[in-house]
Amino acid sequence: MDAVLELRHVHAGYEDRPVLEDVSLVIPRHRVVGLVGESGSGKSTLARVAAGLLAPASGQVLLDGRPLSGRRDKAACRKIQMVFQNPEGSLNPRRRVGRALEEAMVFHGAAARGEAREKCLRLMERMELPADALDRLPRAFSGGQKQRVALARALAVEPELLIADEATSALDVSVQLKMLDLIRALRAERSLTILFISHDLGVIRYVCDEVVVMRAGRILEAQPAGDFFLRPQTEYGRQLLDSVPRIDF
Amino acid sequence: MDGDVILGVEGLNLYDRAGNRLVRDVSIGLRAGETLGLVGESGSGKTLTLRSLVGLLPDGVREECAGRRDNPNCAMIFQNPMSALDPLCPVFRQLCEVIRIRQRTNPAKTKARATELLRRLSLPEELAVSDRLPGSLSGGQCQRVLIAMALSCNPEALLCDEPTTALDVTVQRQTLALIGELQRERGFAVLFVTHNLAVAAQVCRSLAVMRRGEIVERGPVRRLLTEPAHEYTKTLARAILPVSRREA
Repeated sequence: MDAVLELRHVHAGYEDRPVLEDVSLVIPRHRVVGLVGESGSGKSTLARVAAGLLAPASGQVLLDGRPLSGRRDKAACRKIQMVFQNPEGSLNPRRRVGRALEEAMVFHGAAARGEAREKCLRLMERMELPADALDRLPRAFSGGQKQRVALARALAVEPELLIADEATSALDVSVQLKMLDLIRALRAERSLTILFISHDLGVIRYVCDEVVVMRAGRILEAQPAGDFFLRPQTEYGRQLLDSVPRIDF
Repeated sequence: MDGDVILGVEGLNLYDRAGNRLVRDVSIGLRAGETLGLVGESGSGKTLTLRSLVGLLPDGVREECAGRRDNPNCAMIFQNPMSALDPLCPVFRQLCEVIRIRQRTNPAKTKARATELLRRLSLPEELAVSDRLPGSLSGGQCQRVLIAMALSCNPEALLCDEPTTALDVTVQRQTLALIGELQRERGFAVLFVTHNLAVAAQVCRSLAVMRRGEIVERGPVRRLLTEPAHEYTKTLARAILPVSRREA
């Protein structure tokens, strides 16, 4: 199997607080892997390790089969992009969206200076953002639009792996659905590989091919989504699934 | 269901400082033991409506009420349980304080009632003899402490503002079940504000859907979810992302 990213027996944490314990995970190319768990389970720490933002205490992180160094080099930056719960964190409030996107494209060689503007326009259009979006500052967008701008910024450099960490959790439910539909469509068009982190199993089921369940810094189970939702392998997986509010009529 | 409306408001309008209307002509009425879910997305005015009912409107919001209003003895629980407790005061002392003031009990009786409530809400009983602060409890435990405080007022109505939104799903499930149990046990009315239709459906018999300060549709839960009439209710119903029922 062709893996974009692989974690092998990773232990990682902060100062004296270990978080991840012996985490091994494969993210196959062109697949959407859903990472689910409750607060404090280590989902975001895993995302940071996968993105090369946090060096593991032990174990290996392989990007395209090569070890990812603790400090992000330029190539790794381009290959792995992230979208966070709060889009403001990844947008400079004083820089117009167009300029931020063009700079990222040119810096990472995703577009020549002359063609960057045109590429950005097409990207904005694909994100269903208004035509003048490129000339606006981040604050001139609604929450849902802002998150689509953050997604555009991440996709502008044509990454190999997109890590979405609770990217739709702060949005209103109807806005969330729109964003998820967009991610599903883009994923098909661009053959994206995504590590999709969420605490919401309904969301995971809607967008993911595989489900990985984490608890207390460990991976408890990992299997294709279709199988997980019918037959979770662990007691905790069953508990999570049974806790989702249901409407049975 | 028969009986008088115990919690309600007719023709409520709320305005901000600049005179913009935030809530338009909202009428709500709950009889004893009834459960109503107020559902809508951010900015729909659901929380403001709730706050107006308990007289906790933020500064600068002006209210006008065309018809009658009924405010029973009610208690409220909030979205973020951590910030609703004093972080520097032991949890048990905070619970006792509410009981002493609302029930005018002597110290011994206050402690006995507080301990009883800890037990009923499955909170660790050692809280009664330790000085544990809210920070040492989990979010779910803090929310149960707040529910205990609410119950100690023997409310006729419990107002809930997104009480499980900040909680993990397994804890959310326990908390919703607990609210339902207590409601049946004690017969108080529940007004439950949430953005999540599926959560509202767990606790409430009927729903009112709010959008941009107005109630756009109301009715029994089942009818609203199976045959929503208003376009916005349909949008909300579609936004519920279900998980399949697992094989037993």
